[in-house]
Amino acid sequence: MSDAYLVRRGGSGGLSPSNAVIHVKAPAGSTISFAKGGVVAKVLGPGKSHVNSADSSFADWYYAVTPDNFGSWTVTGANSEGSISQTVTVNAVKQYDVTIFFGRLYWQGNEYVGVTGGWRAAQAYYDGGDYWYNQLAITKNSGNIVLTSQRPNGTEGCLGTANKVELTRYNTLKVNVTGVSTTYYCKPRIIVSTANIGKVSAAATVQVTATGVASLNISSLRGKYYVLFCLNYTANGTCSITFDKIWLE
Amino acid sequence: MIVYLDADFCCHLADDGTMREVETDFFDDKCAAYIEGYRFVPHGEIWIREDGEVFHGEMIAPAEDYGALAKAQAQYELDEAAHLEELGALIEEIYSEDIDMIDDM
Repeated sequence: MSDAYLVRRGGSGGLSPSNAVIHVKAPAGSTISFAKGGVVAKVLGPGKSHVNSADSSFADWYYAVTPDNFGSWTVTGANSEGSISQTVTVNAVKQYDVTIFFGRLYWQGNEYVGVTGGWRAAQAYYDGGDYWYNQLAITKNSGNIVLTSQRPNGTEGCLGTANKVELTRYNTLKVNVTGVSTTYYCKPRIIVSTANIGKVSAAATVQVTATGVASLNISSLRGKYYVLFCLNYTANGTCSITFDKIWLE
Repeated sequence: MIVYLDADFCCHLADDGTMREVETDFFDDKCAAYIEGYRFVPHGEIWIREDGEVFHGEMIAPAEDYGALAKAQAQYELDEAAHLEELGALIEEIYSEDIDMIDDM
């Protein structure tokens, strides 16, 4: 198998007139491997990438495929978040774009601080009536987070990202819920918000009512938003919810 | 407030005779352009996006570009603030006239 890899220099320049190119966009710092038929043809580390001008948290890698090597290629991106592979069928002289992204915001204890800034209690605010909002007990375990609503009646408590998260390239926000004590009163919600203060600034929201994966459509949102997990406490007693993953697709 | 949902769960402020009604506080203080750019999937119901992704209610999310909706809402709030300011000035003027009238008695 011919060993032909191409690292594009600068922003201009076209394809080789006779080769196809696999263009990979992946988180900066990743290592990208290109394999065909189970055989790894090339591994390109972070040093072989180009920082993406639109989003510096991503970088670009390029690999040229000669016509005698056309076929089904497996592109694998690996970094501290794990490893993801995608298959691309190369059968013409053109550029094939592959995006490797993990989209993880919280994963079994990992808060992805580089993206989220960490998960913490959302900003408290006074509703102008009787209550200060953001009454919530947050328990961070090694593999999950437990949120427990607090009194008094009528308050809202939220756990949220410290930073706004770039959502433009994603269509869906998902959370894996592993435990729910009751939802009748506490109405757990995932909220994508313009401010880190709960439902008053929500751009999109979905209620969580059972264990399993809950999904929120964010395909019409562009730019950066806070991601919040909120419980709205509306009766005497407490409720709790446990989740172990929050991610973007 | 009451909003009306069409067959695709898109929100409307008036029922054209085919829609159903839901009550929510999510759109309190929001302008018409903002509200009518949203999709509201009620609890227990399912909406399937055109790419096949399935979403369970209750879900409230923009159906149109959120940037445009937010811009419309921001303009609405500016217009409301200007209107309140005008109203305040008018009330002050009437109050002053009433005081003058009382003083002249």
